[in-house]
Amino acid sequence: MKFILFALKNLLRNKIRTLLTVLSIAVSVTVLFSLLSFTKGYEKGMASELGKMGYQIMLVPRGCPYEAASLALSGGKIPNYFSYSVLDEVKKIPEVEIAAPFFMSAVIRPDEDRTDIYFGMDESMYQMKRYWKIKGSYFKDENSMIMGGDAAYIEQTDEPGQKFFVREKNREFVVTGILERTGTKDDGFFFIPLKAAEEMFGQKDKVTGIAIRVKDPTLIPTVVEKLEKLPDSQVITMSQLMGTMMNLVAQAKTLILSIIIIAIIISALGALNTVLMSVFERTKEIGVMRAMGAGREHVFQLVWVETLVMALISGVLGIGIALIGMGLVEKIIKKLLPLAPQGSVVSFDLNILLICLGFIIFVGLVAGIYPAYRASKLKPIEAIRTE
Amino acid sequence: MKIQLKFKKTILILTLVLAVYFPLSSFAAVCVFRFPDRDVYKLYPKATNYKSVLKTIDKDTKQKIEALLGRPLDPDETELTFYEIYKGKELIGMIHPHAERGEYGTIEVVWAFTLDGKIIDFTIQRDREKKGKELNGPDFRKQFGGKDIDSPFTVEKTKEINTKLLKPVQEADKGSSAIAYGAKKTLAFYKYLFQEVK
Repeated sequence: MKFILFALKNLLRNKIRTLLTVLSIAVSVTVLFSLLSFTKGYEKGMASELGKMGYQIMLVPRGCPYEAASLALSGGKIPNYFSYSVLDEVKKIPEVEIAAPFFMSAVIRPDEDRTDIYFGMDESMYQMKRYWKIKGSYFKDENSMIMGGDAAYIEQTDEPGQKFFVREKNREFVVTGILERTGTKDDGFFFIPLKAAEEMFGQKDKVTGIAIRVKDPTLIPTVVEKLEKLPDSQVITMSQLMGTMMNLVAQAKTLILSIIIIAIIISALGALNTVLMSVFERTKEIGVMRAMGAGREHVFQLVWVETLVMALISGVLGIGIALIGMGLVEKIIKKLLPLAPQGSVVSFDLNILLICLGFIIFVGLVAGIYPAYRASKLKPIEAIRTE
Repeated sequence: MKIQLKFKKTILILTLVLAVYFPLSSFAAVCVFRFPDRDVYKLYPKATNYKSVLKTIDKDTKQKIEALLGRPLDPDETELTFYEIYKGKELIGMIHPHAERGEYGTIEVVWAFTLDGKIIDFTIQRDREKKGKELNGPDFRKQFGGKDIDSPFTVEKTKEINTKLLKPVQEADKGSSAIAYGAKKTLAFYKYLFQEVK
């Protein structure tokens, strides 16, 4: 304890230098902690969102796989359609429990800086959305609409019964239900009856995709094999989707992690320099200590503890900043990441906290070896003579 | 030890400032001014710049506004953003974006008015009204020009439009009334948050 207080006192002799060193290490720790928390949160969020979808396979018209992933995760407008004959083929597969056709399209309103995503669905899709909590009711007729939680908030619609007009398509709906927030992309959609969607977008008897739930998850490969034989279609399983998204994140993570490691090495060199400078400034003092009976190991320990204390303070400060800024990081990531899950993408994890703290202490210990060694090697008489 | 305490104090203050700042930064006004760079110059072609002014409605002001309108304010109408419009260094007018519920959801209107509280013009920044084009058209808009808080263009204690003074857009009575009431409310806000304060 005495050593720690003594080390702290030594560090505070040159406050500005110590503060700058601490801040440089703390910033690296903040970024490291935020990145690891994001990766963890993203994985959790994505798994939860895909799990909530209620289906394991999605069949979409052949096209770009990322477009299909985008369709599944964010919604949007893809000008490829199936006819109902494909749905009939899917329904014939005995392992399929539910095959739910859907029609998704968007109305872009550039003057108002918004894009409305309409999701046409029928009772079979509603069966997959059993986790939905609706204020009001399911569709009553072809003019009904269910608003996602966020969509309702943006439209300031708090009660069913509100009229809704799609000016671009000259189509009127009545809101029969408002979804409680689900933490998925459903929150931002306008759900309308399947037939109404087909008609509104001028694609009668066509759908943009089919969501499939199999009777037993172990049968997914069998169903996928059968679905792949269908012409002009593309099969996406939710686990593939998860893998694709996590691969994208992993690539970005590797790149950022490399930059963070370089930043940490630079910060460690800064810490080494700070302590080394402090040792040089205290050469005489160290000489006196040695002359008064302090052993080499005491001097080594003292200087080493200084680096350790500095690393510890930086680590705690860095993690503190990261925790305070978690909300902000979340907002920024969600703004930058086009396919972020709806729920939280930055998650607090005690293990990550301990890993970051442990790592920075280790870096501090390594950085402190050389200055401590230099200090311990000083000869008392030579050191006292130093001006 | 004193220095140590000072250092701790600084860190604590920094932490508190950060903790307070970040939640505040997510604040959203009742009606956001979505396209200031487009609409400021549309409503004030001679404007060169603008500045936002945040006003808080206290209990007394709320009572005065509600008494004047004859209706309660919405629960979220506690902090409002106004925009001062400048031509060079000269303050030439005000803008206030305001939302009211029409027949098909919210109508977000950006109101431009003179410093003595007379309407210059308005533009709709967001709406879903069937007659949205007409509501934002010149025929309906020009009726509001020059109206001030004393002009009885809404029927007292209702949101309804006073048809003797303003002609609603055909088949859009509710939307027209919502806009008229929004005008009255905006001028009431201006009166009690700016004019009466002076």
